[in-house]
Amino acid sequence: MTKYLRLTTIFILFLFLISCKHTITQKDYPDADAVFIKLNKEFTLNDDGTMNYHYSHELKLFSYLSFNSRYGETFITYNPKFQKLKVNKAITVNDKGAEIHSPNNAFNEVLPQFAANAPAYNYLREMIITHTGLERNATINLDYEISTQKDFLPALMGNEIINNSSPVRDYDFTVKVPKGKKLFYKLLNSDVKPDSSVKDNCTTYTWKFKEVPAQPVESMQPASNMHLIRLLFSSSGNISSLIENIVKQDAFKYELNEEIRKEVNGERKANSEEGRGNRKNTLNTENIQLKTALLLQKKVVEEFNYYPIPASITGFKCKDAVNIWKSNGGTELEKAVLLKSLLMNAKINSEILAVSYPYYSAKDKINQLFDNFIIKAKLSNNDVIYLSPTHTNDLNQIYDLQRYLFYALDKSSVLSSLPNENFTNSAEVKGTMKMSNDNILTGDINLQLKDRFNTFYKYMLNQEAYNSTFNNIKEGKLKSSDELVSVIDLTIENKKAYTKEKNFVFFNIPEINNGISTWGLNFLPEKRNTPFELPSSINEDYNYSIQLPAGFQLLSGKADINIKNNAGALILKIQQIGNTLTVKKEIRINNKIIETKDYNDFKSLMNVWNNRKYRELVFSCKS
Amino acid sequence: MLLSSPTTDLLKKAGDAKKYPDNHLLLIYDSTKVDVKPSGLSYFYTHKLYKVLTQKGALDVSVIKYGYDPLTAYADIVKAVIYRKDGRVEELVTNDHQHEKVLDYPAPARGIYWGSREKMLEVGRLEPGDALEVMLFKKGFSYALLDNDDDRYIPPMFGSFYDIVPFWSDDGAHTFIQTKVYWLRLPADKHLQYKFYHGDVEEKHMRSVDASHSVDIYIFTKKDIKPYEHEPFMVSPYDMAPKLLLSTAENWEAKSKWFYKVNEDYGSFKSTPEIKAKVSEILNGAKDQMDSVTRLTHWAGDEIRYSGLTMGKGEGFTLHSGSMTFRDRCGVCKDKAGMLITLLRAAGFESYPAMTMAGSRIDEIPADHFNHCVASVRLKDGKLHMLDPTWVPFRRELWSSAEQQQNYLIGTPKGNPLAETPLSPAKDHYVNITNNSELTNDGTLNGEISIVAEGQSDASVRSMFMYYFKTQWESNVEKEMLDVFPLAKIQSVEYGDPYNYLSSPITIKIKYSIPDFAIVSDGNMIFKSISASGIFRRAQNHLNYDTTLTSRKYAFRDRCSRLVRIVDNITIPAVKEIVYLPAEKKTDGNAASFEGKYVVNGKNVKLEETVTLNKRVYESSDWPEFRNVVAAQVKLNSEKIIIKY
Repeated sequence: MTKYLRLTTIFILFLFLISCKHTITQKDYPDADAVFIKLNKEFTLNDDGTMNYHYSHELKLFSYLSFNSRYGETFITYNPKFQKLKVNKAITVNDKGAEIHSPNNAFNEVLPQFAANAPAYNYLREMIITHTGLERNATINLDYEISTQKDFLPALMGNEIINNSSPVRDYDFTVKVPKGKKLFYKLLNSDVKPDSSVKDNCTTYTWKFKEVPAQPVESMQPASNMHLIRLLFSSSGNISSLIENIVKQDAFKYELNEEIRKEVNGERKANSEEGRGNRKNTLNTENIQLKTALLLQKKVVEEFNYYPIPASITGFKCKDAVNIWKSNGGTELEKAVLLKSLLMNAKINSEILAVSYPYYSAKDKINQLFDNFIIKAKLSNNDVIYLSPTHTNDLNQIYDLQRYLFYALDKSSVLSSLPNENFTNSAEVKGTMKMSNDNILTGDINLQLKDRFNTFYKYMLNQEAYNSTFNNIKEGKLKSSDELVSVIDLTIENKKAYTKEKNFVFFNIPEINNGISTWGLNFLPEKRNTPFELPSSINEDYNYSIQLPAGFQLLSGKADINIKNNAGALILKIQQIGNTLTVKKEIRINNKIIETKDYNDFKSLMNVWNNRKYRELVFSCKS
Repeated sequence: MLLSSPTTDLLKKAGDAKKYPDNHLLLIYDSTKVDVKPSGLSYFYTHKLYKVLTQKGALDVSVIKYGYDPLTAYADIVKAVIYRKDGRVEELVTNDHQHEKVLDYPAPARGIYWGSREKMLEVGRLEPGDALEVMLFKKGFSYALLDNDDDRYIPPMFGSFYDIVPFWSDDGAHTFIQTKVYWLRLPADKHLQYKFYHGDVEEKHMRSVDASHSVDIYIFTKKDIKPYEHEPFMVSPYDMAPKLLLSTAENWEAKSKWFYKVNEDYGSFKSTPEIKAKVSEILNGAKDQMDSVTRLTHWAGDEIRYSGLTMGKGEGFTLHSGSMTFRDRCGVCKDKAGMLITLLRAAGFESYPAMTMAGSRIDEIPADHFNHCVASVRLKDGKLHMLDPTWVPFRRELWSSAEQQQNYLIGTPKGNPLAETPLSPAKDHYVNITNNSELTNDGTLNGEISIVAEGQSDASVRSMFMYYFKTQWESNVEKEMLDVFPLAKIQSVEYGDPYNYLSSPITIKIKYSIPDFAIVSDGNMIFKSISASGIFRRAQNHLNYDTTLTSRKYAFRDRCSRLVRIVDNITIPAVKEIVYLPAEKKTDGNAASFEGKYVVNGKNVKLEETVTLNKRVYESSDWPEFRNVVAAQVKLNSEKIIIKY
């Protein structure tokens, strides 16, 4: 009997324990400022083509930071012309368990900041929900829905990073499509498989994620966020359906009116004459066409307001070129339309490309919401140039777009990728200089700049732009410049070449003004958990011969170092022979993205490059 | 209204980009007419004629926006006409047609959600040589909400009028103003005080009397206003550029009484049982009066987050009731101040609200030049002391010394005069950087560096934690070292619990080893002090000032007064000869001073630096002293020690 009672007591206790919901506390997540106890996202495509998005979360706040500057408000942007927002719940449960409902004045609808100066998009709205009653250990319960009319978008599409700014304990991600309709999807960096079920003429896919870590906060992570958990999905495998939807608008006839043609043709004529006048320097006939394209890009970028409104929130609606011109502003897509129209008028073949992220691939057949566009132009000499519609390019944008995919915004919807060229991205600097006793360094520097260092387009518009490449330029000449390489001859004169304390001279080895030393790579901690993205791969090479004043003797900085590893290579050879200092200093980093496995190799190269003793040489001298 | 000749004639005579090569826009006239009614209700008519000089200027006026608060003002764009350089005239908006082109919408917002709106007109593409005429209309006040028609626009201080009128052109706009006119009509029985600051203005005063009433008309005109030249860290343009202040209020005491009464009448500071219970909880174990005030101020500072919801009627000048803020746990500065006053009164303190202007001066003309609200409390010394719950979260102060030398007005029953917060002694904002290290024969430096900071300097250092996720804290400390010494190996870091800011000044310790710290060659060792290297620069804002600027036209600002003390002990190998030791630097002054020197004692090299900066706002005449101090510290920090060992 006693045994029976004991077992019963244990059983009741067990039932009690499992019925008690574990209260999440800071102890469960000691490093977190907050935790999403529950997060649900549900995307639904209905039979009639309308769509629903249902979001809810239960977010527990641990720190002041969490509610002062991170989660105190929820911002929801939407397009009231096509969408309706309904907030179902905004309740805070405070530390003592009391419920505080956000009052009516806590729901404020405003114009989104990205549309602040865009009259044509003045209808867009952002709902700001202020969560009231927040304190440490409070929990925010939020639930809202956005319903979307049919034909706003041709398919249900999503591109969602699963990692949030705080960890998520339970994350249910659901996509519903009409029964019989296929869902195309791809999950990156996770093994979670969806549960699928059919009910009420609807197929439901649910991914259940547990203990999703917060997005890492390390600096210089790859912009594409390829390393995070990401779910891509679409209800259509036909990419051309979205593009057809976009290009059927009048804007894609690329028509200009007489007034616009008159202005741009007048400017083009003037520039063409100027170009021919300068031809003896660097411009040939083909380059005049390039220059025309660059000047048109400059016009679109600098003379027209840019509205940084995501194309997807407008349903890819696009003004035509004449109205973009008249209104003096446009979105990225609209600026692309205007630029292409102007290029067409100048008889330069071009097309607008929608930029697709590297994690998409054609075989996945997943439709996507494009928000970035570029112009691809083919010049009469068959050179292909890539131009941004929102900022001027110092060089062909091809160098920034490696690994990306592109869809042509025309009826063909052709998918393309850039040839995966192995750019050298090199800056080769040769110098013969002379240092005088009275602290003057003079000499000749020759720069050979290739790929990313070759700001050919900048030189095309301003042949004296070399002035920014190096310090203390007395005079210079752009010796030659084309798409492949620019060669610059400089004469330098530095009247404060070194500092001197007693019989010691301190001299900094001169470098170009946009080399790896200017990329802010001092802060390289011992541990790194995420890939590291550089502006580009690089090959920076200095070869100097510097004649020293009599009596100068190199004390510090002598080097003969040669390192080669998975991240790249480094050569450092600094020596004095007689009165001549020779410096060979070269660094090569193989890839734009340094994977975590190569991080230590990268750091070891940078540690030598950054070592002050090899940057500032010390000489002894007679007083 | 201003024009005596047709606009086209004005445009022809105005000049072009050749005459104004440094400007993007020419504002041929900028005219504001204000008609004040006996109630204080004011009608503002603004009329401007721009001539576009460059394509950048064209971009600047391609969209016209006009903001207003619908609770207290009505605003509209009533006329917009483009005059093309080829003579064509395009009427975009006139009083009687095409008004639908003016968009009316809720303004973008962050932090304050009071329902502000904007009117917007798309002007579209203009070319250099084109011109734009714009007329704006507004009636109302900057805060008020009463009932019935125009009553809602009558200022809450019934019958009063004030205005603050810039007569400058901001350098960022690159606009040259040919003529600026401010025209004011108000009932003659209103006593208008006005003053023009920082320059001259042509002024006229007329009185017009008719059968029913008499009115005064004032006209202020200034011509040829160039954009002012910017100086780094200069004071606000309100403190150096031409401006006109006008007010019908008798004096600041009258404003003080009004501000007191409007909030008392509303009941902003009434307590509730819940609030009383919270006060008891907060004050449980409080040691004395000061401890109680400290606890209550920091509770309001830390627990009421900055986010402004509207209370509807009265928003903008009325402090939300304590019960509303206590429930919402959020508010803007005035609501946080209101919460604190409610808490203090519930605890038995005498406490009042106060208005202040963060960032610029308040002058003697009682025009409401306020952008911030704070609280005051009477302590046992009988005086009212200032408290700022908005600026002191996670700061070891009750009144932020980043607001020293700042004007304020306390709302009291009898009316207080305008006052100014005193200088905060530099020693209350000390930064102590201490390093103890040993330099080995191969040039490696091993040691521990610490920083201890108080007051606003504490806040500067603590900011590397308070604005970041916890997962970033350690990395942020490491970054301080690695940014300066990329080769450093961090052995340990200590920073305690940054949120526990009231317990002690922030203290950070870093144990490190830096290979190749010193240059070692042929028996020579060359090095600098690590403490003087720029580490923890975030606590030394003065090092961001460019000392190549030899003189200043205008007063300038630092974050706060500050005392920096650096003590760096470096144990070195046995010294045979001191080849070079940087010379002692010393510069004295009332506003700022510096003293720094290296001393070698056996195997110990010691650097001592003391930087004293006594103000937040400096006169331009203080610049030589300030500059000398910064230059001396930079010079000493840049020099190397050379020894033979």
